[in-house]
Amino acid sequence: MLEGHDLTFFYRGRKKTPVIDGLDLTISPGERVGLRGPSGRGKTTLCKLLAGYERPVRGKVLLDGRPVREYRGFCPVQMIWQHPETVVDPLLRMKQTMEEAGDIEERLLEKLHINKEWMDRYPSELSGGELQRFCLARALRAETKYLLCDEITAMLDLVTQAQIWEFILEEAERREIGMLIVSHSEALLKKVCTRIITLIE
Amino acid sequence: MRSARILDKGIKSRTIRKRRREEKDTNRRLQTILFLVAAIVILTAVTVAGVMTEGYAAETDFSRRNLAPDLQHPFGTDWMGRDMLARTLAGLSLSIRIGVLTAAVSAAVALLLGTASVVFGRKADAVISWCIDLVMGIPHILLVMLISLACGRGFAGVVAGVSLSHWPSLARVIRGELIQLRQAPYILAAEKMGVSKLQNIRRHMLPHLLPQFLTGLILLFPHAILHESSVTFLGFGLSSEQPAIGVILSESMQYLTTGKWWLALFPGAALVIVVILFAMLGERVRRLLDPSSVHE
Repeated sequence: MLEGHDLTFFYRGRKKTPVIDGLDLTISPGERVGLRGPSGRGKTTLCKLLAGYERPVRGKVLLDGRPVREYRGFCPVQMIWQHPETVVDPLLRMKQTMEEAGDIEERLLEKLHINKEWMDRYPSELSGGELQRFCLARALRAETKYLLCDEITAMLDLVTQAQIWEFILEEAERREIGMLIVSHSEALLKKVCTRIITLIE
Repeated sequence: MRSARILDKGIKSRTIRKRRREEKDTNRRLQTILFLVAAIVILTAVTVAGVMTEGYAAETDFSRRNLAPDLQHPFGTDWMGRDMLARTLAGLSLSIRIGVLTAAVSAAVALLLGTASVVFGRKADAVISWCIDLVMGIPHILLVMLISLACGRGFAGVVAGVSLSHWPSLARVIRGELIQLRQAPYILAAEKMGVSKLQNIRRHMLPHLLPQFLTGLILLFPHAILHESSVTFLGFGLSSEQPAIGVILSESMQYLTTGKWWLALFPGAALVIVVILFAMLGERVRRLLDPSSVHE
């Protein structure tokens, strides 16, 4: 169970206008929660809080009853970022970046259509969609229990989008991964989610 | 059939062009490395030659006073019959040694303060940033003169003055780079992958920081050397017995009006060449290490 209790967060110096104010959210294993809302309402911030990238000003994030920021080593809550080119070191070849995530199953690479040859390239020599596949592959290690997807297919063409979502759904169902899916696409949310929540002011 | 052949030709010419471009790039890299080696060899040779001729440079011989440049004394001799080539070499050597020492001290100070302002939180950052602005706000030459005077002039005074006034710009660069790196998504993501703090610093931070630091360090040399010479020229630095370029230039001022042009021209030109060499060295190193061209 991934729980957010009374989550409140504001960026430094903006105490009067919190991005997230007293939000409660629970994701159970195997559940796929859709999250929609206008730009700037804190969808990405919520993902960062739940994944432990940011500390909430008030409230807490619990993963199976333990604060998510206390987990050391590989974190069972993984976030996929909207811009994959920012989450890979531009000075390292993809092979080296992927080594950090430990051994990645051949099967995942194959399913995500990751070309062996891409491993020897630098991030600047790959497209956004290609990089996003790498990010998915390393976030889907066996220990991952929750996956937070922040607009992960916004930059992809429709065919690739369908391909990737099909794979993610299959994987999530088989391993009972709980998911939070952020998107502006109504159709996508209706198709893949088990329930949808909306962020409003 | 015909279109296929044209297509084939197009591909071929494109691969040739690509290969040519690659060759040119490797050439440029090779050229840069050759230049670096040559510059370092020249600067080291000058430094060593200066140390070896120091004794000869101080030798006075009143039978050969004020000689214009000739084969035996290519840079001429001064009013005490000292060989100007030897004096120039000794002076440059001293300048380079002082430059290396002060640049190293400045860079160490910059690294320490830049790191401290990121590691020790916002209060420390505010204090250090204020110090950077303060030191940068005072004209360098003034600060060098004041510190040198306060430390009793001479070698110690010059080294203290130059090294305590040249760290701010590099400290600011390091601070900015570290602030950016600390928040970089790829480092945060690596942490969530279970990469330890130390590993993160080694794998992700140092490779980004090192080029900036190295370039900044080398580009400190020309500043340090010029400021050492000017403060000595003005009489606040090295004492007049020492074979420093600043001393040579200020002495030659008295003889310039009587037509002894070689006393100032050759030492001055030599100083300019050394400074330019250091500046070009730094610029080339920067281009060599620039992240955007790392896999050219």
